[in-house]
Amino acid sequence: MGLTRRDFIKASAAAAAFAAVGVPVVRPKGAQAAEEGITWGKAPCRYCGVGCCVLVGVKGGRIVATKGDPAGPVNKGLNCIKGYFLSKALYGKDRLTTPLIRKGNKMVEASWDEALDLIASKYKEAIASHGPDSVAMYGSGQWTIHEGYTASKLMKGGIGTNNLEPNARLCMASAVVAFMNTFGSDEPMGCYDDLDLGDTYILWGANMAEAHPVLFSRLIDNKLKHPGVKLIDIATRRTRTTKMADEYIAMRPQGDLAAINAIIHVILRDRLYDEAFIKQHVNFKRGKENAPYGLKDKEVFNETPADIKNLTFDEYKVMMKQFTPQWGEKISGIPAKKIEELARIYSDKSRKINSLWTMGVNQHSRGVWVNNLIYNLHLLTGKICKPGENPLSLTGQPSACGTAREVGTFSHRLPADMVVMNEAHRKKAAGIWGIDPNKISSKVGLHTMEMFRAIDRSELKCIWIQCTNPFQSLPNVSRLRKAAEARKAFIVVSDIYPTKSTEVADVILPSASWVEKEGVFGNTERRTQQWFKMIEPPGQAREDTWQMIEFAKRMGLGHLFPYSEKGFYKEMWEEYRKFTIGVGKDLAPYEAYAKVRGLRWPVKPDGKETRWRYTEADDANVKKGEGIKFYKAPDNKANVWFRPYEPPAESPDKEYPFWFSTGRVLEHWHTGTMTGRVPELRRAVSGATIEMHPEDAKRMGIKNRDKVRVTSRRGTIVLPAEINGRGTPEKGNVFTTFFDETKLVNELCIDAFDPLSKEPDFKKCAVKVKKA
Amino acid sequence: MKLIVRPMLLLTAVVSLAFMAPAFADEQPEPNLAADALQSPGNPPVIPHAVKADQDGEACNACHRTGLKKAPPTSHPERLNCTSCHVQGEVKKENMLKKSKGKK
Ligand code: SF4
Repeated sequence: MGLTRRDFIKASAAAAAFAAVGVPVVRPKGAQAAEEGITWGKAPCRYCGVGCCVLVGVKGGRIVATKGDPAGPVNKGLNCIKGYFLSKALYGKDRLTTPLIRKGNKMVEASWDEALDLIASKYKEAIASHGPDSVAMYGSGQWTIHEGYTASKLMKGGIGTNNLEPNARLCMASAVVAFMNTFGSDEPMGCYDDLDLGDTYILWGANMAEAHPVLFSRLIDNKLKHPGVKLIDIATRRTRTTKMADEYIAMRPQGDLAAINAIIHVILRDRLYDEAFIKQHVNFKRGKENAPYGLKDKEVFNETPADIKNLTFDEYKVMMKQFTPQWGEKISGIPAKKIEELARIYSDKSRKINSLWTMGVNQHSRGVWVNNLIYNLHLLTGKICKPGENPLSLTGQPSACGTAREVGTFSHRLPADMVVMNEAHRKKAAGIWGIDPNKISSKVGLHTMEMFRAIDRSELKCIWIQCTNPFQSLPNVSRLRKAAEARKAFIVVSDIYPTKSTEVADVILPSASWVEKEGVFGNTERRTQQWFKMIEPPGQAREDTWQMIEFAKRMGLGHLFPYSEKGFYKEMWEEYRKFTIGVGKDLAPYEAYAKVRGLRWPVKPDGKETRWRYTEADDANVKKGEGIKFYKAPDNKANVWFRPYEPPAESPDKEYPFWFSTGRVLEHWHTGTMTGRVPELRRAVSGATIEMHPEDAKRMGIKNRDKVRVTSRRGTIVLPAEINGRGTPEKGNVFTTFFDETKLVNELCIDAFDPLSKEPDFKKCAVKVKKA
Repeated sequence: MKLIVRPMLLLTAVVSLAFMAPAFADEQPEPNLAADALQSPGNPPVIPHAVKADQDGEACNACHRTGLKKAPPTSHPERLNCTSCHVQGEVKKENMLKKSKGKK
């Protein structure tokens, strides 16, 4: 009674002294007997990029239990509610079990041979009359590594087009570009251990409590054990994360660009930077500015070496003089005093600072720039590559890192940080694939937004979508749905349930999911986790790899996949692994992964994992005495980029006075195709709502659960209002979730994207709100 | 050989403990997953009463810390993000928390 939260946290700190993240085990009597006859397997969770380790209990060919894995270093026994109900995602009543082919408005059952023959004939026809760039494949950060690798080899090495994209373009592309242009290699230097070892965590627009729940629990555990730990939540909306934070700082949409520049201004003005670190490890650069927003079809924008200017530290300091805290306040809404304070926190030598961010920064019309600016903060203060002190970009999908980024299933990438534009890279890939280097096109393929717009322009003739749901998840989706419904392209969709994308397909293929097949995922902290097949997929459902290889055979490309049936996963792995050896991205032999709950690459010659990259303390690629070395960057130095403020593509005005943002809830994952079939999760959160600030609602006479019409320049939708619910957006902002397939909220979103990463901005556009 | 390996392993274990994370190597033994499963507490119970959308852990603990109003006491009151594991279940009428809301 009368205890404040802080008092209570202090009081409970002792109680929280258990080492593991998980809760204490209280076994009911007879538990052992109940578990007899169950065979246990290990797997990473199917859902999110946290990559929790899960134990899967199988009896009589069915999953009878899933448990948080107490031996899992990611989660130490803990899961979030999605993880606890994992098996139910596979056992929905309407699983797809047979191939279906469109006959007019009907989908008719077909055999695998009929379906695959039809797909091959359509692809052949398109390639014969319009060339290989008239066909495409659109995959997923939920693809296993083997699936992504098969797709890359098939499309880039076989068909000869780079029209291969993952849905990770919609979530991680900005992070990828910034990792590449800052450090010369994708993926973080730090890892989840930093959540246990640091003492200051600054969240840039991330609702970790809902989107990365187990990592957030890990962070809170650190806080409970160490009362000095500080959590600062900088956001445009109060969330569950805010409740657990020490401080909430309200920021205007797009304000991050201004706020961080102003923080850097103070760090430079007051000489709070680490001069020695800067001298040794940092270059200064200025890129191309006045960038477009991707709103026009076929718009081209690149930052070529000719566009990049090298700066001295002094020149950089002069350029940063304009970004005063007062200027920062004017644009970001964060008080100048707070900006000064944040600069002091970032540069406090006695604090271990971590920045954490996810879609707020990445789904941003200047997402690469904000990533760059966050790295600037860490590079200028030397707070990087140290245990407990790192910037960490949090991933959304279970294998966005392992598959989309490491295998490189983007339209410009090849495995292990290589790109199709580079001749040496194409040669290396062709060598490993045993093909003529000329087979791999040097022309960058269509990025996601252009790929789907090209359907509308009738330029793309065939597209095969696997393991994702673009006709719900893309911005300005009505344009794209109309094009598909007009049958402007031949669309194949492989999935496990009917979705908004199977709805517009010409052929639907039933897929095996998660432990119905063998696979490997790679999570946010570079952890590669393998699992074995544990149950049979339902009906005629088959693995995505099998589907692609059967198609390849019909295209005369079967020779690209010479693996034996028994050794399939290992043989393909060992081939893929060749890309990673000796380039600082080393993966272990396949067998090693069967025994452990994942390994974080680069895996050292002695088989041990690497927790912190670029530091002699842990990374085998840095010699003793070298300290920190950004060995993947051209001259072993990371880049500090000058990135100014530029406005978003669309801002509120008289007619459309509200900011509109979309995101996730804890209970549902992505477009809800799996979690929507779990009764417990459906009951907990049954549909999308529109969150408003109570004062805005009051002014407009809107009460909780009132029907509200939300309209943007692209679409309109009616949603129940949610006031004082789970989250509260700042005044002038409204927020909704995108999981609900009965409410296509992405019809409202603008299809503007970051000019460097081509990642759309799902977080900012203008809407009007009326009581319906 | 074996005589040397043992203390070496021990040393490795101690060193990795110092770093607060286990070191992995492919010479690891086969895992005993059934034993690990027994160590897991399994799925957390669902919540059989209404929960406010913005409910936080302190509000839950008001009853669940000690077991007030017949609420089962929690083994882990320090974990305040309750609804990240405990999901809203079917609401049983008698559990509607009428009394605590009676004043409104
Ligand atoms: S936090 Fe993510 S990986 Fe962990 S159980 Fe939840 S959904 Fe699965």
